[in-house]
Amino acid sequence: MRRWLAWRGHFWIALLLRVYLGGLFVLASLYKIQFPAAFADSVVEYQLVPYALVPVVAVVLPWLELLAGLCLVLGVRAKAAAWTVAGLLAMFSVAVASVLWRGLPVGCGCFEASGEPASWLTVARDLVWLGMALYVIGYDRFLHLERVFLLSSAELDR
Amino acid sequence: MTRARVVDFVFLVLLSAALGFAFNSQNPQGVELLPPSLPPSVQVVAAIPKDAVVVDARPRQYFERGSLPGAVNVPPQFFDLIYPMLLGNLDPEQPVVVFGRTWSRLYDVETARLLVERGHEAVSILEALPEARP
Repeated sequence: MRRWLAWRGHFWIALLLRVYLGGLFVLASLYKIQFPAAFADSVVEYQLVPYALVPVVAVVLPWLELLAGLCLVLGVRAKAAAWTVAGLLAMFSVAVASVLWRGLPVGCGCFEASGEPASWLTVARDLVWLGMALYVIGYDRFLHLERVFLLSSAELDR
Repeated sequence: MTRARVVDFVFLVLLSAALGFAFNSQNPQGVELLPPSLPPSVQVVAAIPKDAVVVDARPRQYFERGSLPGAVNVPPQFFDLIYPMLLGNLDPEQPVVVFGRTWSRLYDVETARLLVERGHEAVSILEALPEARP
């Protein structure tokens, strides 16, 4: 078990998953950034956000997805970005599960406004991605752009 | 991998908010940040006025699940498309009562507003409808 945990291959897999998840989040954010009104309609359908806050969520959330995704791909503050992505995925899973539980007629609003309907498959997919994000948090250490161009926090603290 | 610090999360969220609001203000498809306000001429009523046309402002999928008898479905998102078909020939003095809202969106206020903009003089909103939250 200890040998398996110390296996060097984990680091390469984590790098692969980090870039994959980052790219996924960038992709998911683009349509929402371009069409915030359509995304706001998706947020409304979930009936989890009070009406006064819906525009704020519709405007800020896609940019958070974009920035966290970019940070993951580039390896800039990658651990914080991975935690952010994990948190968002956990939130999405709970949100989709809750509309399925309440029986609301809802499109998932994951990538496009008129995309697939929310289903338990959506929840399962989000949970798989959440698992990948946690794996990245645990094992990611290769190819961080901030090490190349920026001072590390250790160097700053010194 | 470097540790995640609180300042990283704060920075991510603040930068997202700054970019989001800045982009939205320049985006032709941007959203209105303030919730819609009720025009002063629109009254909130407890019961359907006599001879009023009843408008269900919720999206189609809710309307199809059940609505008030005789109601027509005019969601605000598709107002310009649906209005001429369903209400285009209506007398501006004919009473119209709008209903339908959720915790996340005031469909009734938005549709009432659009009706007032089209010159309807007797628009009201139905309060406390048990079926308004499906």
